[in-house]
Formats: sequence, C-alpha cells, structure tokens
Amino acid sequence: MMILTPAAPAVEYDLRAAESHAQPAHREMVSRQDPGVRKRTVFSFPRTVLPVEGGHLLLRLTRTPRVALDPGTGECEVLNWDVRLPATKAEDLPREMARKFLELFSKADAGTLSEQEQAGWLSLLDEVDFQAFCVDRAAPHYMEGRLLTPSPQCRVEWHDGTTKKISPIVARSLSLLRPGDEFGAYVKLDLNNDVLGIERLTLIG
Amino acid sequence: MTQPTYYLNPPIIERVASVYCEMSEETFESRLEDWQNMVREDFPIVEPLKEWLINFREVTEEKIPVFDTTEPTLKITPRFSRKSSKEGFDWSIRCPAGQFTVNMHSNPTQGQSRRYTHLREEFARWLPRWLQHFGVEKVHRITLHYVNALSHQTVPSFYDKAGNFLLGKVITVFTQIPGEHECLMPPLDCTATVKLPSPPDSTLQLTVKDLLNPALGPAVLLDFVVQIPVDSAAGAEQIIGLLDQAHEHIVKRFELVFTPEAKASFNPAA
Repeated sequence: MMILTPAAPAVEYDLRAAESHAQPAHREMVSRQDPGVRKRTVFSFPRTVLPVEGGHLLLRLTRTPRVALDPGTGECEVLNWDVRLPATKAEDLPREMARKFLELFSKADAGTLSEQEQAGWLSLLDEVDFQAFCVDRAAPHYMEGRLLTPSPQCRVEWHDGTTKKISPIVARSLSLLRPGDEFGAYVKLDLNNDVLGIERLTLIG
Repeated sequence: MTQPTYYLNPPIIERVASVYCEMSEETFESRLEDWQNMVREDFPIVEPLKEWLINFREVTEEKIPVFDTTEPTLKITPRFSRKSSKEGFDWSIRCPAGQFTVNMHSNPTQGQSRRYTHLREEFARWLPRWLQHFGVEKVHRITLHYVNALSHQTVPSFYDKAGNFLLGKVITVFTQIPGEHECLMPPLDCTATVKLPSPPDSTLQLTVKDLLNPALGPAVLLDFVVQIPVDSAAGAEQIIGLLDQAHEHIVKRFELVFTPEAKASFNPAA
C-alpha cells in the first residue's frame, strides 16, 4: 500500500541544475500592482566579498549590493558604486565593482581624486570594510620570535614578549624549527594581530 | 542478478551529477580564479548563468500573489562547457559556491553513444580536484538527474495521424485519470517523491511536465532525480559509489515507468 509520510524531504530538488530545464516555465502569474512603464527593478546581489588580484586579496563588503535593472536601456547599475553594464554582461559586475574600487583607491592614495570622484569614493567607503582591506593588502613585515611548541598547537613568542598560537596551515612554514629555536621572518598579520602568513624564514643565533 | 537492459536509443537528453557542501564565500571567491584556469583547459566556453529571480509573496487578504519589489535577486553561476549554449553545451560544469555539477548531453536520435559510464568517468576525474582545490572536507549530499524528452523525435511511433501524442502508451505513471474524458491537455505538471529503501534517507523524485516548444508539437519532459545524503567522512571514491547506487535506482525505475511498447521502441540491445 502506498502511504504518504508527513515528514518532508530534508532538501529541495533543483531541476534547473539540468541545462534542459534552463528555459523558464511559461506559467501566468497575477499581480495586482501595476509594474509601471519602464520602471527600474532593483535586485539584491547577495555577496559579501569581491576578489581582487585574482582572489589573493578580498574586498569585504559591509552591505549587500543592489543592482537596478532598467528595461528601457537594457542596462544594469550597481547602486552607490557608479558601475553600469548591459544586463547581458551582468556576470562582469563583481569584476567592474572591484575595478571601480581600485581605481578610486589608487587616485585617493595619489591625491588625484576630482570633486565628483571624491563624492563617489566617500560613498564607496560606506559599502566596503576599508580597514580590513588595508590590513589584508599590507606587505608582510620583518619580525623575530622563538618557537615554543611546534605541535599539536604551534605557539610562538614574539620579540615584544607576546605569545601567539599559529594555525596548522601557517605553522608549516616553521616545520624545520625545533622548540626553543629563535628565528626571523616576514610575517603577515590580520586586524587582531593573528598570523596569516610566515615567509623568508631565517634562523638566529 | 540479471543485467539491466541496454537500449540503443533511450530518450535521455541529459544526465546531471551534483555534489553539495558548505563553503564560505571567502573560500570560494579566493580560489575561484585558479579553479577557472584549471577547468578552462577542458571546458573552454565560459557562459555564466545569469538569473534575475523575482519572488512572489501572498500579501493580500484575497490570497492573490503581489509583486514584491524587496525580494528580487540577481544570481550568477559560473558555468563552463565544451560547446556554447547555442550549440547545445555537449558537456558542461557548473560550480557556484558549495556545489559541483557535471552535465552530459546526448542526442537520442543519433544512437546512444553516451552512457552513464561516460558521465561517471568525467565526474570521477573532476570531483577529487574540486574537493582538493576548495578544501572540501564534508559533502552533504549528491544528486543524479536524468532528463528524458518524449517527443516526435524520440518516440515518433506514439503519435497518431492527427499529431496527438499517445502518452498513456509510453509511460505508466501520471496518465491514469479516473472518469470519462477525451484527452490530457497542457499544462501537465506532475511530481512525486518517494523514499528509497537504501541508502538511508535517499529519495527519488519523478517529474512529468509538458515541454513548451511549439516546434515539437505535444511533448513531455520526464525527469528522474535521485538524492542521497552523504556520510560526513565520505571521500571521492565513496561519493562515486553512491552515484553508482543512484544510477541503479534510476535504471530500475526506467524499466518500470516506461511501457513495454515504449521500451521496445528504444532499441534494446540483443
């Protein structure tokens, strides 16, 4: 006998994973709201990061970007970013957003922003985590320290007396060291002074 | 155990294998470009899938869907293929964050040169690379999806002189409607999901939907989708093993869902 269980499936199926289902279903929906003539529709573009430098550097966003689609011009625009593209090229929006940021960042750094660009730059600073970007972008700087324990939790005492745990991936850079070894290296830190990377290792003494 | 029948011209137009996992956007975005460079050696056509998704919500007392301007979403899915969409993709890979999908197309009218083993081989070649590249430690589930097109091109002997499609002579499901009537009419949209005896919590979904393509005349898409939850410790080999089990389930249902007359028209191999 066929029974119907009240337990719903854990996950939904997505038939659209098949290219053969790429065509939208032509079913009629009824709306009571007049969409208006040539009215722009604003879409959320859910993402929290934009890749810069091939993904080696990420630009973190503070709010979900919003994209306005204009049926009159066939263009889409990222609001507050001054980035416009034909809707058919919407896949390039993340790239163009990152490029816009880099362009204004470079001009701001060089002090060559025009008045209009200055306003755009200030608007963009509300959209991104600029502090995190600057920290992520900063070059590693030289530090000296002593390896306390290599495993299971790698710990290092830095020259200023602070002690830090090193993640297993980063700790691979120290795999040749023995407990007590003193070393110098170029170290990349995050906002909390946690170690993101260690390179150009040298033994001291 | 008897071997499943091999058909030279089954109406299968696409087979799709997918795995799903949790993946942070940071992990995905920081490794996507290197992944694209790897994939593009084999899948040179880049055509990201753009979806302008508009949701409808019932917000009135009359229960009439009202266009909700706060919900629309733009979704972009990286997609790579061997041929362009205009040429029918042939093979394609989709890889949004937390998902890896391989699509294999076939043309039932040109003889069944492609089988599950071809999809399996390609999937097994790329899955370990995807797992390693994105540092995936835990896959949640896999799905295997077969799309069958029942049309004048794939089952021509089941159309009468007036051009009507004798669907009830092709499939055994969703065609028995009690009462007196002349014919089925579009829209035809039937879905059933059943829980399978094994692996635990696996399910099969069967969908029959009219194919809205005036050039084809009356036609139907029939989908089999098997979904299997994955044990947290499963690696690439175990995942492929589960994919094999999903395939076996689909093969068994294929034998039951199509009528003997339809299967005879698919040219069973001797």
